[in-house]
Amino acid sequence: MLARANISWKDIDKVIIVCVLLLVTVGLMAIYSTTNSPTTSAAIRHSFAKQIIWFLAGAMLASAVVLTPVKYLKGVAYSLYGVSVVLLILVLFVGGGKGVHRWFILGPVHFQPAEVAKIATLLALARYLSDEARDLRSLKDIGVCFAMVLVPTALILKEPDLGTAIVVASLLLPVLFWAGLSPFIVFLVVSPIITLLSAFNVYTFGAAMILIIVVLLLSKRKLPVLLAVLVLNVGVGALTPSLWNRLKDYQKTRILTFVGLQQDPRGTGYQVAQSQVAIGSGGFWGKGWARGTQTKLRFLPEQHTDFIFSVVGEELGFWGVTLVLLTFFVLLWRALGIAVSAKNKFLTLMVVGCVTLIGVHVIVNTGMTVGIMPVTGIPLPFLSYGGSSLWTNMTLVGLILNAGLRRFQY
Amino acid sequence: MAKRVLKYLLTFSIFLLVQVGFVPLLTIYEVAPDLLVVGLVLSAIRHGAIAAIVTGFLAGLAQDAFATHLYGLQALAKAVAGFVAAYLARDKLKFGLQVTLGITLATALVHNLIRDGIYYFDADFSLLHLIVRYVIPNSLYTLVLAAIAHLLFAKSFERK
Repeated sequence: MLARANISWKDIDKVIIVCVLLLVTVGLMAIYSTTNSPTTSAAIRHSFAKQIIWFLAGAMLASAVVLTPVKYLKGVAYSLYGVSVVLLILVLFVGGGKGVHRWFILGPVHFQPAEVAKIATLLALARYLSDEARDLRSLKDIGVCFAMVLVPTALILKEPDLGTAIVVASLLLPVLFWAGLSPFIVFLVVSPIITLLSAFNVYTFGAAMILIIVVLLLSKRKLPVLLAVLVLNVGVGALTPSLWNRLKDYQKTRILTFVGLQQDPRGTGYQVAQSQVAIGSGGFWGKGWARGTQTKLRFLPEQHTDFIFSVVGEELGFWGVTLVLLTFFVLLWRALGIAVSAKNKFLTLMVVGCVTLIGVHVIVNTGMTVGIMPVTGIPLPFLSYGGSSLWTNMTLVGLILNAGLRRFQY
Repeated sequence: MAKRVLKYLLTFSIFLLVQVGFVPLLTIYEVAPDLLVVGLVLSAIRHGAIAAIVTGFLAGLAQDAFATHLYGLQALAKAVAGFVAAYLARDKLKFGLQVTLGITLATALVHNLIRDGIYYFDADFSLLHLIVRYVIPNSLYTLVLAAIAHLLFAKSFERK
């Protein structure tokens, strides 16, 4: 089939495949270690076997995605987006979960529509922006892109699933930037967020303002524009503490808990503390595979899902963690190489979206386990236990490899 | 294209319902045919590898919803089966009864070997027993179903 399309399996990016295999292997080792102790239930002990089955099924899925011609991917983009939005609405009414509405539960199969929404939004955005008629100086076109991302983001937030919502929302700016949106406009969107976050401390606020002024001066825009942006940012910064102080205590608590900055010492705070202890206790060489005390004695919660990075840190130590992060770096670097060299605009935008999705997952998950990011419950790609997440990531890799094979096609 | 996908979804939903609701009644000493494998061969012949793998994966996942444990197992077995069927059918121009049944038998054998091999992994019997007791009988039973389907709907087994 590939031969008919003038492409050959020989051209497939083998480094990306090796990276994925390496990550999945480390993940399987960690899952085996966490799920094989006398204290674990039979259901959890099956996790290792299940993850292998899911990986093999995911590999088949990725192969199908690699084989799929670009015109089909493009053709299915809007329909898939429509279906994913309908599913996200439906799950709010009939979805299940522990106090949330995230899953369609069909017997043993738990299906999370937000996972489909990630890929659907990415494909729809890439298709919309790859149209020759689009003009990124037009507010209408930019507005459509914002709406395209914000609709699924808002629905996922409603479930509520902050982590996945952040991941989907993160697609917008990198893809728009790659499509040709002026860096100045990207800066205009990002700078008030930086100001808002830095406004609680005079030093961070000062540093943020210096950074913003330097960027504004380098942008060489007209003086009134520069002043307007500066005033906007100073205004946001000046108003934030006073608005914050006007909020009632329960409102502050609600916001802090929502973004994960306030942690219940028996809940997320406990998780982060145990995770930090696990990673720190690993030292340089680690305690050895399946010998982690935090892991074996089950101090570490959600260890085979969201906190699997801590298991790697405890058992394989600094070198293991470095290996995992380097492998992710190589994978994303190779993928970006494909994005740079692809002649077809749809393909290049699609790959940038894939890189963003995987990259944000890695940053938020590893940041969460070492305590510098809110605990949002998003998995580490290819390592964390879970079928939906693994299949989504395998599909993303399939899309990247597909683009790599067809990178010289217009 | 959306119309074709919808037609596919409907067809496989009917196959699935029959498989889950009706086929258990045909079970003889734990040996049962798999209607979805016949559907996969059909999809591989008509639309090629991508359609067969994706359909196999989704149909298997839906079938997993009726299973009690190891979800993903049917999805894996059927995705591989879809690939095998498409691979065997790739250069064929005519799909007479023998060719169709040959492809179905090979597909069913691979499918059942994966599914039963993993399902009975912990069981206390040898690989030979597994093949003789489960894999071959299940595949042959599926073959009978495929033969009936081919005789009734011969036109459906043609490349699109």
